Amino acid sequence: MTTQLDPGMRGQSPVPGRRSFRDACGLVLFGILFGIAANALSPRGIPWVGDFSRGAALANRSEEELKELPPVVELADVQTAVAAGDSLLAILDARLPEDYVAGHLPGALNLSVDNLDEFYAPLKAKLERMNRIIVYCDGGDCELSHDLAEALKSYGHKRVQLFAGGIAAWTEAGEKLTEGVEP
Amino acid sequence: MTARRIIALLLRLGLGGVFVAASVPKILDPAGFSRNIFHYEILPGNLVNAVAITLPWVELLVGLCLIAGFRLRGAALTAIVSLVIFTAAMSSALARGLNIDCGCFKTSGTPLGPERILGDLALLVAAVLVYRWSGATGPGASAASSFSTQPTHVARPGT
Repeated sequence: MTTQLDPGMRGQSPVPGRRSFRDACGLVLFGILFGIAANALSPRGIPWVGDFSRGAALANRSEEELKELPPVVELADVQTAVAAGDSLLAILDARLPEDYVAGHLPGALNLSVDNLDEFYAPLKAKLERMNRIIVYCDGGDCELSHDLAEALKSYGHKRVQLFAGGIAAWTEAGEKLTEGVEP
Repeated sequence: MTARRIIALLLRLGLGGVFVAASVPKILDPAGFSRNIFHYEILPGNLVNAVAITLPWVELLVGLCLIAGFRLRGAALTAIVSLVIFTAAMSSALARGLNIDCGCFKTSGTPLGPERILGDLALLVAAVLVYRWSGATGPGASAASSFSTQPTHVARPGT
């Protein structure tokens, strides 16, 4: 006995699973082709092989964008600021609350960029009184502090500085972290 | 329309909407998305941009197919595979203690955390249900088990 397909099914695989796999491959292939075409035509297109060094990231920014970047503070400056306990300086930890609780710079407040509006509201009045704000995250490739610095600038805070070394540079220097929810 | 068919329809529309919503910011900012991928420290650097260029378009097509009910099982299968890969990548990054942007819906301001993995797992369950409920066809299948606009696969005995 043989199996005969309905006319509407001619040319289609007789095994549904195989047909799904074929459709999935087709979708991926079309997606790749659309991506290639869009990247070639779009002014936002990127090279096929990227350079992810910090120098390359800065080189790709326009002069205007470079002016907008928050100034970077060094470890020694942060150590001095923490030791001095300046009441007009706010140090902000841009990481998730659980990371903050596990260990943060002494005196730092948590302002996670996740749900920023919710976290920012109770700190707004305090931050507006500060004449200097330092933001940090883990250091290395962590971008949360960059995002927070940009958000704070968009909220109107002018003296926002970035401690790019973050937690990594702080602990490597032998400095201690504060655990818990309190600054 | 049975309750199961309604649920199935809502699942595929919701899943499709999520895929479309996730793809658009990445298509508009491929450079940002490539940085997101790079920070996961999984792919070799020279493959990162190729994935950043093509992956969002695959997501977009999958989302549109799910919404339109076109090539439904193929789209659901692609969604399953991609969600498994995304979940594995996020779990790996969290296990290694990386504090990075998720790159899920926006290319910045979305820190990676356990809730993102739970969200992906929920989407994975939805994708599996869409795949299963769109698959059983033919004379023995219930009406609720097929909600695809694709021609059903019916074979009849010949001589």
